[in-house]
Amino acid sequence: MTAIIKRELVAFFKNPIGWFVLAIYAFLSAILFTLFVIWQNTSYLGDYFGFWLFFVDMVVVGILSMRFFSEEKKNKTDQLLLTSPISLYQLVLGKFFGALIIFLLCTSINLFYVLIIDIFGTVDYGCLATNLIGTVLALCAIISIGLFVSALTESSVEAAAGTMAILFFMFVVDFFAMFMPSWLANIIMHANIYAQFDDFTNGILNLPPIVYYISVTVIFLFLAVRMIEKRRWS
Amino acid sequence: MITVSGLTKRYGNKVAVNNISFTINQGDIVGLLGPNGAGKSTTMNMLTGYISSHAGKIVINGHDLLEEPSKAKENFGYLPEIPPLYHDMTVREYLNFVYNLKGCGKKENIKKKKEHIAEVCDVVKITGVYNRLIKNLSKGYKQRVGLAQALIGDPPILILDEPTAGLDPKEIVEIRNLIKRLGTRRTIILSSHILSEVQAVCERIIIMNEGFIVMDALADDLTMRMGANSRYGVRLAAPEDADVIGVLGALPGVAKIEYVGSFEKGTIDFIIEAEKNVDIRRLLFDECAKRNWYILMITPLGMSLEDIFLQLVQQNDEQRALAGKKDEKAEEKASENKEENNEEKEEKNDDSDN
Repeated sequence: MTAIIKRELVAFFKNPIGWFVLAIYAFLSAILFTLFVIWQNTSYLGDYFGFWLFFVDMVVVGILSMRFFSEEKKNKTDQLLLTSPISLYQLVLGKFFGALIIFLLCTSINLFYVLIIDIFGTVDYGCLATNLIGTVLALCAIISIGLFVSALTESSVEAAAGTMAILFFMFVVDFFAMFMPSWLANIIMHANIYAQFDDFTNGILNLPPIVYYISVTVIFLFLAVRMIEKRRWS
Repeated sequence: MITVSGLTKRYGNKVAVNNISFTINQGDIVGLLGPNGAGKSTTMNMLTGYISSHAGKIVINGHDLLEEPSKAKENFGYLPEIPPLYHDMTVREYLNFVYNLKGCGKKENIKKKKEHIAEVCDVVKITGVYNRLIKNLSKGYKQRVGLAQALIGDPPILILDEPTAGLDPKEIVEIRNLIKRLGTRRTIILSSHILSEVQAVCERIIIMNEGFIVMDALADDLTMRMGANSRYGVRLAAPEDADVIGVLGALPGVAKIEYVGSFEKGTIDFIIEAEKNVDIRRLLFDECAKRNWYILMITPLGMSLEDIFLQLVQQNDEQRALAGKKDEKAEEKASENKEENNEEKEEKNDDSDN
């Protein structure tokens, strides 16, 4: 598994797309920080993290999901991975942790903004901690969705578009819930990956969202494994 | 070492590999031969666990591929038709990655990483391109790097799918020699649709067509079985005005005689082919002795593998067509019998009603 994690990291930083992703991260973070913190004249980071999670991660996970399995299939390098003496779970977890480390590196850009607030104002470290915990948990869920979609298709473009479409749908599903019966709307709003983030932005560490994100992660990683397994049998 | 029994793979309604079984012993160099679409690559992909079979069993060194995939996979190195290379890596990075991926560091019998990789690079002669990016290498070198990854971990079995595909003649010869060298202490299975390649490298040949094994034999046996004792190249010293071709062509049991040329003064070269199960040599000798013609050379000519292959495929198709016709006839007969029975029953019913 460590070999695959290392391979993911090397491939990310050797590929121009990796540096492009980092640049997008830095650029969008700066804009969002200006919009939600500096212009609002506040040290509250909840809105910044909430919007940042939706916008930046949706795009970036979409781009990265191209590389998870679709590109391996396209370049036939999946033959090396699937015929080596590692299990499918090790393979999928290797890809997952590789992507997670990349995202954590990108997320570390935020620490720079925390430093700025610390110099010019007061940082609510409790709220910051819940936001960071929430971000990591939500990232796990988002990456696992990307991995699953990537396992579905051989086309990199389809993988990226599919992942972005699912994540975007989850963001706007609240809007459609307004036109549905209350019981259904309730379910949909609870199933929304972004709605679950609200507690973290408010500095609340609640068990249900934590369980939710962990469940989504485990389910989609499991589905990714099953999907690869299914392809071998079909 | 490798036991395959009842292996079957279907893609939708098409049966790509149909109930094949074979055993490969330690140290064998086996060629899987067949035209495109015969099921060679599918068989190799199943042998390596890249795809699963719909039926059948694969046991590698005592480990069932389905029940103990990791242990079974530790025993072989696989070079697919397109080498699985990461073009953004250097050869060094790539081989290090494969070493870690195969978990070689944990194995006691394998040398330390640097030493082992250096040894493998030396065997496949890629030391000179060790620090170069894979995307900048020629096709021949890429193939060698692919072979190097298969050799990482020192597996006792090598599975090579069309290892010389797309290489130039010089590279083909080099890779073939390399495979031969590797085969001195390893079991090798290689697939190819180039018959001369299999002939040059393999001791045993399994011929596949449309998902079936049509022949499994030693390479020499195969040639002898199909063509020995029926076709000879002959050099004869005879007077210039003698009608050698006419006289010998009229002998009983001669199916065909073909003039080749005259390569020595006062001699004639020809190929004589006997009818099935006829040994033409004695008749030939008697006839020549009677006419004072001297046989200077007589060489048995086996069929080329191309001829054997085409013949086997044709035989296989004919057999299957015949089996199909038999089935149809049996079905017709069965339906006729059914109709007759029904008529008899109806008659009986009518009688009883009356």
